[in-house]
Amino acid sequence: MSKKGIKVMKKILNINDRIASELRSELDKKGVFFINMMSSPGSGKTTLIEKSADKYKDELFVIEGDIQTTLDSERLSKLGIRVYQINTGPFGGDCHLEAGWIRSALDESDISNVKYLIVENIGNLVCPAEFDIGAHSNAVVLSVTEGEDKPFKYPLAFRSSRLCIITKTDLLPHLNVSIENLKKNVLKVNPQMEIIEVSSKTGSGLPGWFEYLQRNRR
Amino acid sequence: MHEGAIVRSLFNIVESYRSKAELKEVHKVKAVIGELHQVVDEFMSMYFDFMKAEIEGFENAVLEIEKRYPVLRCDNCKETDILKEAVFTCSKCNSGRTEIIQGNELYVDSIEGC
Repeated sequence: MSKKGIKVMKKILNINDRIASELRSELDKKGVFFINMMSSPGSGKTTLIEKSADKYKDELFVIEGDIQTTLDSERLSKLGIRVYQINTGPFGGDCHLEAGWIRSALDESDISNVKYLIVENIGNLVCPAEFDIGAHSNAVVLSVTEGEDKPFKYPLAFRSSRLCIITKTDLLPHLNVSIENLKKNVLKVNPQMEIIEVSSKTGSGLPGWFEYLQRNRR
Repeated sequence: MHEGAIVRSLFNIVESYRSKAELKEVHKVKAVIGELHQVVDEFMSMYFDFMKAEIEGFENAVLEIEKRYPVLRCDNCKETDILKEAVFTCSKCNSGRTEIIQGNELYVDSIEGC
């Protein structure tokens, strides 16, 4: 048998990227703005969405990504937010969502009258950043308790995002963390990043988050 | 560990090209991976070895990974610089208008077999 060398030059995630691109176009046509929230566990993603319920529940659809449990989707359902839960646990426990998961979730969901689709990706600042899931904007959510150095430790999550939501700012007086240094570090990793500071507990900064949603309304 | 998902996708591509080229055996798969991807080579190889055991004709296959270091070009002063830390502003003029020209690669380069 003769030896053969075959040049391939094909992107490894090409199928994921194709599904993501189709999703984006489809949501564009439907007038839906799609945000992919990525963060470490416990950054306050679900609480921020809860705080958006009063204003946006009729226009919002949330896809919750977790390895286990339906706890987050139960919290949102109680507030009248339409939500679809993905658990990757029974399918190998993937630590991230891929475009195919979102495709299946949307195929099984009624998103009529929806203006905003938010995916709460699985809590992890590494793996989700590798996969385009079709969002118009990736948003990295970072709580002040995580420290100033996280943009340097997880650059891909910050590079692949357009929005950085800094949460739990009410805790700053108790921490040895400078929000100015944190913001500088975010901008060193991604100079184009838009930054919003919020405290879901006190409500401080929430108008900035609502304004972001309003500005990106399709 | 997203390397498992990446290796699964890699095998889909390799299998498709292998079938077109009618290769009975695959000896080497070469992938090019930019250092901006948070991919651990040892995990890539581990998943490759797990998955190849399930596929006939891959018994002797090895995964070769060529890493590409990140290079940034400044749109303002046109300086080109190798990125040594995760700071994406220009090291010369401090502009934020920079572009990554190398280091984002994630592709199957070639396969060898018979």
